[in-house]
Amino acid sequence: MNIFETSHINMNLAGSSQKEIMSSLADLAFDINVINDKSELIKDYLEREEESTTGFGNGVAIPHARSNNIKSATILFGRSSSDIEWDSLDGKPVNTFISLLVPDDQADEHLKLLAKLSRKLVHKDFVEILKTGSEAEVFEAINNIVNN
Amino acid sequence: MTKIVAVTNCPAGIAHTYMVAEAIEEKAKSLGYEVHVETQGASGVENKLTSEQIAQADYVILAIGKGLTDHDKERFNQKKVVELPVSEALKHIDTLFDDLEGNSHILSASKVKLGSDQEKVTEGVMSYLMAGVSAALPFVIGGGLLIAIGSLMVQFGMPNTPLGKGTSPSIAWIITNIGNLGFQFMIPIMGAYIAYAISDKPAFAPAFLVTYLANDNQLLGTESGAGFLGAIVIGLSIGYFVKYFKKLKLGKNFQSVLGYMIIPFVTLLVFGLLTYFLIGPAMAWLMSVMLSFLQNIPTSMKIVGGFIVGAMLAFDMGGPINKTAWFFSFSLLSSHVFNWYGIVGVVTLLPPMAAAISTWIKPAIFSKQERAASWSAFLVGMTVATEPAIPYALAAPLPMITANTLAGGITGALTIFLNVERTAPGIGIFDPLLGLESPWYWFYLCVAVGLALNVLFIITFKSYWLKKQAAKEEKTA
Repeated sequence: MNIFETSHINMNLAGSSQKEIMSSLADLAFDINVINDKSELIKDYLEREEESTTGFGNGVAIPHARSNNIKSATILFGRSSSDIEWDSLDGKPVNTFISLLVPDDQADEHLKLLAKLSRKLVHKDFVEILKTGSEAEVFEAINNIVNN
Repeated sequence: MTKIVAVTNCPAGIAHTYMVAEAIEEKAKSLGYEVHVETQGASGVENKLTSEQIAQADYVILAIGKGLTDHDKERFNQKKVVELPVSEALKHIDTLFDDLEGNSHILSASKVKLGSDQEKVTEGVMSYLMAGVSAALPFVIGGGLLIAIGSLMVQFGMPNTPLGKGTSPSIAWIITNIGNLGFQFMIPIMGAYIAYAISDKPAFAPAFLVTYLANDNQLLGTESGAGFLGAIVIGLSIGYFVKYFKKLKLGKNFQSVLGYMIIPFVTLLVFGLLTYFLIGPAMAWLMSVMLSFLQNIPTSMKIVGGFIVGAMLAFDMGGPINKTAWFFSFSLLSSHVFNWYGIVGVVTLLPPMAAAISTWIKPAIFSKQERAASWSAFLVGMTVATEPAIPYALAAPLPMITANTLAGGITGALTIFLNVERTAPGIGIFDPLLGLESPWYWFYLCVAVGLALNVLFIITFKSYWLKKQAAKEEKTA
């Protein structure tokens, strides 16, 4: 399976709190069959947030997890209709989510793709597409990075 | 052109490592800086910094989310380093480069190397203590040799005239007193360098002054200074205190004076007063308790008493515990009881001589500097002072103090059992020749047994301790 496909996008994540959003992302991951257990993923997300927030500002968060609960390296994308409190670096709530899921024993090439994507996240034009672009634009933007 | 190298890592090694690497690269390039960023992510280390890049860099940025091993940090020894959590780097990327000079500190990974088959100690309390050792050794070597020369001159009949009204001091007195400065400042220099190793310049002055205070019995109004154990406690406390103090954010106007004004001032005030009102009285109390304990040892338990006095003498070498035992023994001279002072004559020779002999028998468990200082420690130790043993104890407190104390105790018991008597202070191992310590054969037997035990203990305990330290380091690395 590809690291990113159109089915990995949910432009209308249900939830109004951090935990609910994580739960919706876990539903999405489960539906596309990349995790074994939903609650396990939520736990991993939360643990990562404990270390330090993944809300890096500008309304975007990148909840991510690395665990053997994850079957293959995957990128999820979502937006929520309401603003979610995420304890972000700039203190602002978030509504755009890009989630990176990695199995424990991930092969190098996929990690490199995720690294490439992460690097893009500090570029304003790219983040702008994630925040305001249409589903097709978002798919193209991410796909250009990881599937080429 | 300003040159920057950076290392990034984060807990999962998936996202922030790379976001921050990219952010640093972009920002630096926009400022026209040359930049190299090493990422330590889930897929391993990428763009590993070359030693040339590091050598040429003006600043090092460590944006760290999961720590950096000591070994890894060592690469940046003596560089100007800005260290911050990876998320902070992301948050403050726009201002991170505004004051690299002000936000950086000189990283000092200890370079003190142990013997050929030993890994060097690089981080943690031991490396801080080693910084104190290397700073203090020259003081004790220089000072000790001068004192030894001065004492020998007096013993060979030259006048020992102190400075006084209308009299000029004799050369022997002058040399001895210059030498004494070495011993006097050895302790504060230890405290200062221990603190300096932890948190750099701002800690140096307060640690130096406070350790000086704690070791000055006249300023404190006690019978003894706090000695080298005091230097360890104060050096470490001030070092860590300043380390966290430095993180204080005071805003642009005051931030620049934090390091050289506010921290030294506040730290000196706080720790100076604490030392004066807490450590001073606590030490005085401890000494009076121990003294009355010694005075109440029943005569039937003389050998046990000898053990205790010997152990106390060897324990902190000039600190309050040693001074109490010495004072107890010395004050008995006026009632013509000479055998307790006999213990002083024997046991105070042991730690420096034993440390020196150990470096000859098993050089691998000592640093190069410790080995180089061994002859001086031996000569000074056998004639005038226990102080040369202090740096060796500081370098490995637990095994060295245990070895010295145990050997001192056993030797003390033996000395009083054989009834070795000493009537006055002289020049150490030559005391019997001057008629100050007798019978001479038992004296030398006690010294020989004591040295043999002390050396054996040092080698056994320190080897074991080093092995454990190495295992611990391997675990954390």
